[in-house]
Amino acid sequence: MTLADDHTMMQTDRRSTSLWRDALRRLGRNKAAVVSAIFLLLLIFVAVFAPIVAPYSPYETDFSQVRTLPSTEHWLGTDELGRDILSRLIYGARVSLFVGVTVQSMATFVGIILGLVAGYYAGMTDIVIMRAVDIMYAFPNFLFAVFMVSLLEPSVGSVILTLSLASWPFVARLVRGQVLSLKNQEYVMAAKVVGTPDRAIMRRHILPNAFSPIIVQFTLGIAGVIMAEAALSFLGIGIRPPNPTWGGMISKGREFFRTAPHLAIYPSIVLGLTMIAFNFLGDGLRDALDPRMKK
Amino acid sequence: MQRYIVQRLIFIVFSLIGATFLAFAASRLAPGDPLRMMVADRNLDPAVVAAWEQRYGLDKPIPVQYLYYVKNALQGDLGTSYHYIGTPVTEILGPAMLVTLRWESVGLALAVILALILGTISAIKQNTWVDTVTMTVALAGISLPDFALATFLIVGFSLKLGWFPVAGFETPLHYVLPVITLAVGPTALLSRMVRSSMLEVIRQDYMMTARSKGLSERAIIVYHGLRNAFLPILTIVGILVGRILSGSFIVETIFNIPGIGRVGVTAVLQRDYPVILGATIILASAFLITTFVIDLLYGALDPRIRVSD
Repeated sequence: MTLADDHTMMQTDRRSTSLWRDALRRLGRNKAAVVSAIFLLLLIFVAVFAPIVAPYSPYETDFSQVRTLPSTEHWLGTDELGRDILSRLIYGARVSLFVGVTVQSMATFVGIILGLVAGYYAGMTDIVIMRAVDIMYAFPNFLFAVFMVSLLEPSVGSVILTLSLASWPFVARLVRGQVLSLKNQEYVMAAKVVGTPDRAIMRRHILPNAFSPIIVQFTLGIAGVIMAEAALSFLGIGIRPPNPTWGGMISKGREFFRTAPHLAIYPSIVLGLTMIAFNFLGDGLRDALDPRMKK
Repeated sequence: MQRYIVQRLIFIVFSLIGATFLAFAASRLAPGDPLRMMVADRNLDPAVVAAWEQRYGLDKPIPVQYLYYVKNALQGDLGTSYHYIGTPVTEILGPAMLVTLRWESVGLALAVILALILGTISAIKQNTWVDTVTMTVALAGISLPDFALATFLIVGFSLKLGWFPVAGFETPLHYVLPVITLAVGPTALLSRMVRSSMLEVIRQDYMMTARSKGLSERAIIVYHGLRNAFLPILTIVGILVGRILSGSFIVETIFNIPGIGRVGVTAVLQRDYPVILGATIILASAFLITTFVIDLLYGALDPRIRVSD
């Protein structure tokens, strides 16, 4: 009898891990996704260890070397104040990733809770939450960000707040859709019948099964947030200089397009590659986590 | 169908009111109310400030202020600018909106045409190198930020090759780079969409029938394939309009185009609240109305929606 118990336990165990292992294996076969993941891991490493990795301080000016081309001393040259471009790109990665991950985490947290509650309880709760989502959807996303930022004092905090406010409705709508399709499944009914509390049902039975699209949305969402942060900084209404941001560097570099295009080109390349990597990875994750999607 | 239109109309009006009220209330509740920020460094008499508040209706509760705002807005009055004192907001935003519509509609049209061609070719040549290359480039195109792309285009085509002017909005040549910048993302997104709906359509029975009738492959694709693939594409166009309107902030700033995006960014830098609020409301309304029109088109183009309703 214990043998039988062990057996069923082993079976469920194997099943639950193999879902993720299968997904990982499928992801591993997707070359673009693997290369993207490696690139992003490298970027995260560089951002986290910026003080060790960066050859110079991102703020240190050197007026004897202004807008120099790449050299052995400054690998990517120097900017309009003689600051090392590579070092500023590395610290800029810190800002971009920090904002991207923080915003998307907050948006996902809020979105999961509101989406779960709306989908599970339906009725008035659902109506109120989803009408709020609808109103947010009425704003083209970046328009909302520009509008909110204009009302707040420019800082990292207000950019994070603004972009989080702009991002949660996507997650909420996604999660609600998942809940609606899951809550009438037999195993959820069974859990209800045996008297499992609502919160436990949501946490243990519904949420884990809604995880795949949330992960995909999280990955793609980070790309969207990094892009929006860069765009705000580029327009001069986001994180202020002298903070090193990719968007700010491109914006400043535009003034020297004719004489020193590398000031704008390098941050554009890094930002472009980061966007592409997140999108390829997100796309790969979608295919890997939901094999039915793939034709 | 009628019920559907009415439902959508109620929804759009609700969203419009919700969004404009949210924007209005937020701009009134913003730290440092606009009037005080304007008079802060002038050390005005409190009595004068109170008189101003009364004149601009700032002493009333926000919902009341909102109703006045809407009433005036419906009569084409969005208040006056704080920065260009006395200039009506509509006089600033009206011409700018026309500029934006002019160049962005060219961009959208280009994107739709290119996407139909690229997506169809990709679908017909599914799983060949043509398909792989097109779709990989498309994904990269979706990911590339507007201003990074614009940087490459300006450095390459304006500065190195000298083909196009760097910025401005006078001659048709000025349109080329902004339109390309704007069109790349939507083209990429749409061509993926076209491809997948084409792939679905190609497998349908009526395609087989068309083929067995002896129609040429090209006629089948154009008359049956594209027509049926068009519906899902229409939905995406709605989303794209939002993206394009947002994109005007960046692209117009880069290329120095006097459209609503650049005017909006300038207003943010100048803390010109009436202009910011006006631009936000105009753009959100434009977005919602486009969505509604697309819904109607969708119903008109797809008989199945009418029947099932």
